Amino acid sequence: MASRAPARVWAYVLIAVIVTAIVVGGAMYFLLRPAPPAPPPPKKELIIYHWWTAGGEKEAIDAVFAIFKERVPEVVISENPIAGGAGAVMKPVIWQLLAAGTPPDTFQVHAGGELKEYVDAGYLEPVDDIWEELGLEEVIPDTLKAICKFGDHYYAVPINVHRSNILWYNPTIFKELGIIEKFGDPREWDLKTFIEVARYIKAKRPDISPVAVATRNKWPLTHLFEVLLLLHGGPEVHVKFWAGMFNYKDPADPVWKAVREVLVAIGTLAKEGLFNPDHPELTWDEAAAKVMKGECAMYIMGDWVAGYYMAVEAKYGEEWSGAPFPKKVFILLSDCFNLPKGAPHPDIAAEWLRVVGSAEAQEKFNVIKGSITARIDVKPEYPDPYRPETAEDFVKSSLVPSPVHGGLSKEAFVTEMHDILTYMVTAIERGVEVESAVDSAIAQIMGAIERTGLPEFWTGYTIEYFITKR
Amino acid sequence: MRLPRRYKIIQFLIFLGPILTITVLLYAMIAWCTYISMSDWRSAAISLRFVGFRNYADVVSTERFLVSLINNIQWMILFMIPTTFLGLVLAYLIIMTGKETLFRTIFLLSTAISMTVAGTLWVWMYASEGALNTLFKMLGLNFLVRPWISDPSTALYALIFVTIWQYLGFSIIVFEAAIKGIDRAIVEAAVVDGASGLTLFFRIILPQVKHAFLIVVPLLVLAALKVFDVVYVMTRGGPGLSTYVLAYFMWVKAFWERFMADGAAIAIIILLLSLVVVIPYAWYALKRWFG
Repeated sequence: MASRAPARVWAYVLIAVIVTAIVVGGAMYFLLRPAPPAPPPPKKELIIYHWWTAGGEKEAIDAVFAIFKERVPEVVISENPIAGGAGAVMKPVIWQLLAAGTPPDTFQVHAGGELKEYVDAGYLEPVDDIWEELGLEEVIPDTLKAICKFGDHYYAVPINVHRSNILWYNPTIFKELGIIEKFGDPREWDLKTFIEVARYIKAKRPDISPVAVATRNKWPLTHLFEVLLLLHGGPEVHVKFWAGMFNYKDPADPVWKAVREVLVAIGTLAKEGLFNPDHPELTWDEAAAKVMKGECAMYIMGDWVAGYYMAVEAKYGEEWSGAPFPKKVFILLSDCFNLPKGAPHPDIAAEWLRVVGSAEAQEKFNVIKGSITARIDVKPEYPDPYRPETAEDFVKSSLVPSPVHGGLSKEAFVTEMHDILTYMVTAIERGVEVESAVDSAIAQIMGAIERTGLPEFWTGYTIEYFITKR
Repeated sequence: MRLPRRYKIIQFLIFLGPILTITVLLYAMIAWCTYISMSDWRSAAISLRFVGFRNYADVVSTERFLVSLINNIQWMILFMIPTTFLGLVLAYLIIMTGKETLFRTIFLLSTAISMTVAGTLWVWMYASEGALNTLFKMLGLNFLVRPWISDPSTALYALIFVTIWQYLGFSIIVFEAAIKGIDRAIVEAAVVDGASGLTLFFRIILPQVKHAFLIVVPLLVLAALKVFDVVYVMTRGGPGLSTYVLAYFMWVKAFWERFMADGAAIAIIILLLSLVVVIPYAWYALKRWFG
């Protein structure tokens, strides 16, 4: 052993010397070689990040890319699609690129609080000139304008609008049980009626779950809460609660009363077994499928559900139907593109934003994507029975932003809400009394408002700023 | 191995590169993370004002932290013990059958696939109408039919089982190598003396593979402390908070809520918990090998 050791050591030394020689030699070559004759001209490129990778979405954004390529054929689109619904995976990536000082030329973001976080951090350039050039101020409704504008500047150009407050239902079950004849049009229901309908369905058809929900990714439950709070409390309570613009330290504040009643309603649904029992293992689309198959009767979810039903070719009026819930208010969310500070190709990014805000791109994108146009002067022929109604409501109903989808509130607070609400429902399903579970949820929400700095986040903004009253 | 002094210097020089890389990349980053954990970086904008231990106090006082900590401890125990002992027993049995290549392939396959794939697979297996419940119904074991990951009382254990399933192959490989390293003469002598299979296992094999425990146990404990992927893919910490773990909490805080300082604080807490395992292990191992 002792006699062989030196030989092995010499072998190591030999390897080390060779490796060092290669590394040092290589480095010296690159450092000392003659300079290349001329630096190549900077590549004309648009570096773009978005999260549209699923069927339908991808075709929609590709249609916008096609328009962009027609306008500036010399530019190469360097696309960075990062899969993951609502940007769950992309947001951390973008944030790190921005923090590292290597921003892309433009990236997808939800208008509202989510956009404001980037603005507050000083990562974005104003895009007022593009708004002016395209005349967007005249064709975009106030609430959507408000959530693109912080301080005195616009920071993003919206490409589409989705509605979050829709009650999807199975028309076959509704017909069989005579729901609409008995309880009226769902567009006019209040919270009490909704619970009554759920109980009625359970009594008549114990084999189906009246209300579908999906909590594997948690947010659909917060989404349900968002819609029910609006339904019960109206636009003012909606904005006050989600933006922390109320006296949240005082349990007697009227906003808490509305929140409590909605939490009790959700707790009652859980307690009486009115949700589908397998909700913790489902994602939003799997819950939508349960309504289509008649295993659940109703589902409160955004209008991307219509896109899903059309993609799987479900029969409208037989397997699915949707009602704005409530009809008189439109909770909106919008995808936007922006211009980061220090973007490598700002002129090309500006051209991209001009395309995004153009009537042509809005029409082509939205017809495929399943959303409606952000510009109200564009009136595409929507191929499905659902969107004409929602496009009309966008012009006629009151508007508020959707907190769960980045439009209002603050991401940290919404994330805590996901955990608080799923925890509450789980506790109730395990036998905890509704009242005590709701008490503890309210205490936790109070703590979360404080801890996440929600009220400070919206200091300087008023409730009216977010609401378009009609 | 006693080497002359100059060889030691050469050895040191050879190892300098990797040592520097690791020091700079790892230890400097740990120091940086520690500093961030004491800063007020709680938004998308980098902010490094020193605030002391406030973030730690905030994080530790939440319900999510307590639940995560308890879950991590359960995970550590319920994952490490079965994986280690099943690994040892299966390794022994595999060697006894003499068909090592075949069995090694079978058991290593689960270790080879990514946790994202395994997690998705198991979500379907565990579903109310999934493969597992269908199988139980077919076998007439109706009392076992349950919504495995929808039920908060079984979700955590269902997830722990997935990690056992994933790491078993690793444990088998290490023990197999250790058993095969035992001097054949000892085993043969025991067999000649009339030792049965069980006696052989407990009296000869077990004492001789102690060093394999030293590899397997700490690595499994560390894996349990930093478990993230299976939770992220399968439940996002749900139903409710029932499968929340520290690493997932850290991710939510840092990258979703953008409370970087709080996320860093949780990271440091995970590191300290790991050190509780690593330091006694390193001390014991160093004493054993060099002492």
